[in-house]
Amino acid sequence: MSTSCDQCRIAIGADPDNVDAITQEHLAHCNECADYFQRTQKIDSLFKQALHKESEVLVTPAAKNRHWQSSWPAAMAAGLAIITVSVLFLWTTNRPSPLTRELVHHLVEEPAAFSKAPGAADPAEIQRILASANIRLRADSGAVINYIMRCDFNGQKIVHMVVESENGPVTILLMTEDRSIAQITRFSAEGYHGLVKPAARGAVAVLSSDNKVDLDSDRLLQAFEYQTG
Amino acid sequence: MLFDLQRRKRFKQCIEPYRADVHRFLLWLCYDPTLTEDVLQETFLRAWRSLDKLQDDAAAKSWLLTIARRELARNFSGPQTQLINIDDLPELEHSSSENAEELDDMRRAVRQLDVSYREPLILQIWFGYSTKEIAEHMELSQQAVLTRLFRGREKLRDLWEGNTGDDSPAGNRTDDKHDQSILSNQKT
Repeated sequence: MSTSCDQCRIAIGADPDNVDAITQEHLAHCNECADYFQRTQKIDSLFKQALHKESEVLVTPAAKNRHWQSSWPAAMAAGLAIITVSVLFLWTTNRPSPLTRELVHHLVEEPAAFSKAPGAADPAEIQRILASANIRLRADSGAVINYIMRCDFNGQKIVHMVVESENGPVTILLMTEDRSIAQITRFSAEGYHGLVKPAARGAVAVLSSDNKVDLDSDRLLQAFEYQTG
Repeated sequence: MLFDLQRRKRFKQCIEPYRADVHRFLLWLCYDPTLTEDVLQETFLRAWRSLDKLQDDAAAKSWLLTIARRELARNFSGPQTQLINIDDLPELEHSSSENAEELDDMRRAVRQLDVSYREPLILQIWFGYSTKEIAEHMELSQQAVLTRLFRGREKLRDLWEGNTGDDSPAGNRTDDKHDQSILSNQKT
């Protein structure tokens, strides 16, 4: 095999979509290299299809469940150990956990929440969204709600509110479907201060850019009544 | 407050649209959905923190992929020669397309390919990076990238043909020094 064939195949192997004029000229007259070029294009095409298939398979719920079920006992034990260690660790430090990072990120994703004036949320919309989570706003609460939305968070439906407090707007996330929070956790991340704690149903997160959020949270949360049935 | 809103708006418009791309990129490098999610969150937090360093919004995707690569590397201590243990991968769910068998053989080959070869091929074939862009991303010379791409395709071909049981000749094998000698004379 001539050196020019070597050069041609290396050029093809390095960048088949951008072969130069000299390589193209060689391909026009060398059947073996032309065949090599076609096989390289086929491999590239299959490679791309393979990547696409993998991204479908590795993130589908079915794939996740199968992986979970096949190692359920070990995963359960590991999960309990992880939760126990994590709770103890978070209790003694303010280091952001994956959940708290997700909470902050959720805020980043909804910048419109902070652009609303105090009390801007429509009362009918407040009632409707809270009712969808089986929660009621106490009539005498005096809560000033700037923003309210039903959102997706970590695969669950939550109520996302911005409530006006003495120290400015405070974000409250009512995570009625989250049963993973065993005790109060305080955190500080990306300029936000907050806490996550168990609620009458699920959990609740309170975040603010002001570190006085602790002083507000209990009073603010009293405005919401969890209904049964 | 206004500056903060503008920053958030820029993040939502320039960075968030590439979440799926970054997610796929990480998944293809490590084949670990849990690790991918963790590194993905770290990547976007770091991007948020460093948003002011992004000079050109048009370069946001490559900027994010670079951050993602570094975040993934931080999760591994010591030399990073192989990120995945083939035995720990989820079972290969068989394809149902017309070329299912070929595709499954290629998926096995891609999983077996060392990440140092897999990454530049992903960047070139999927993301359409030029060799210059790959070199900047991987902090290599363009010549080194050309060598990796060529050797990566050769190894991928060998793995794929080994999986298919195909005995057709794959052409003369050249050693690395010979490859680099030829590549150094190539126009880039």
